[in-house]
Amino acid sequence: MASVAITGRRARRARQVPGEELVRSLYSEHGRSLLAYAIRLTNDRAAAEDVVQETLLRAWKHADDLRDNVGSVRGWLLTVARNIITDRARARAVRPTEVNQEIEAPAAQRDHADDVVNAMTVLGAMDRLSPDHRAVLVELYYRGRTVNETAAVLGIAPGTVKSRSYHAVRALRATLGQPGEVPR
Amino acid sequence: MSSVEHDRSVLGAYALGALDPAEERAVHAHVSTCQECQRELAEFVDLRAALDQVPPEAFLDGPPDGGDLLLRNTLRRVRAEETPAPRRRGGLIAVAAAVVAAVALGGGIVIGRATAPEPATALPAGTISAEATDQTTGASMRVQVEPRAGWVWVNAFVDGVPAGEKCELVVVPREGDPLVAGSWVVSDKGAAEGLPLEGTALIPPGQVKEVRVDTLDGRTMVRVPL
Ligand SMILES: [Zn+2]
Repeated sequence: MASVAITGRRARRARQVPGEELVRSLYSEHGRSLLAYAIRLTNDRAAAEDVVQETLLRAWKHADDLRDNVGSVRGWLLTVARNIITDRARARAVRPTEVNQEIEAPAAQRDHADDVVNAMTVLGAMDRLSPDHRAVLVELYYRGRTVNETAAVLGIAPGTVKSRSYHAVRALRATLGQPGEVPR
Repeated sequence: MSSVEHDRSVLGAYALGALDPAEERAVHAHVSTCQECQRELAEFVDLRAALDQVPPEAFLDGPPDGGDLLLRNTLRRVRAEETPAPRRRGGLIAVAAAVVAAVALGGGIVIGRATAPEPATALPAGTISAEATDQTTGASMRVQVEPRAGWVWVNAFVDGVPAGEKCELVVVPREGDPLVAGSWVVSDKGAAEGLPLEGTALIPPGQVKEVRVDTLDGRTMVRVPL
């Protein structure tokens, strides 16, 4: 009875949803980063979780874009998350008290139209550093540790921290400062 | 402490602001007298602006704390989009024929035939025909509802719906919920020449009250009572 109608639906339900594995792996690799970032920007855990869902959904829909992107996957995801947050803030801008203070503050600090590209590009360049050099840079700059603290955390000599950070910074500078990209 | 001699390897940590205050002062004292160090440092300071584009959260790894409810909710949305659940039970059949005019949407409707003839003359007994034009929208529909064993086959010819409208063919029973017999988006050709459609609905013959064309955002383009 009405087999024409039901068959298609049943077949589709039984099939593994393509891309489900992609979403799982993105979540297990980048979920903590995305959620922490979204929580800081929204100051609202529930809203942040929704942003993470929407971000992963877009990654699933734009898997080709994600794969072909020259920067890092992490950078792509964080950028999409931030765009979602700013779009929503803009959409609710009729109620400025609720939104603008939280959202506009970080946006104003980095008010460049192209910083979207930059976040991805910078992360992509950092991915090309050796793991040792990258780790030193992350500790010193993004975790705000001193040379001595970083040396203790990574179990290396302070002099090694200094020399690695020098080489890391030079390598990044060389990658990001391709001719024509960063005019001096 | 004596002043630092020329040692460029310390400039990275200096530019990143990671030296302790005493060493930082010493390096500063040297740099202020050394043009080579100043040049290199200027580049590093530019780099800081680039590094600042990346939020510190970018260096957290792994899944979020606190279980995988968030993952499960995300996968639910993925599956929901992958398999658009029909809002109502309804039947669709793709016509195996040369097709034109309409772009099938997710549900798979039926699609006008290139050689769609005028309605056949020999219709099954019990076939009901009707047509109507909506004076407000200007859309019109000619419809034939053919009886099957416990369900109906619907032939419709829809005209006057603007291109780009996303539509569904809704079959309304005398009792119970309306069923969607198909959905499509109106092409330029479909808008100009009208669009033949076929669909099915699990409604007993004789129980069909009306057939409508609704847009997906809820406007009724034309309603044909039977
Ligand atoms: Zn020097």
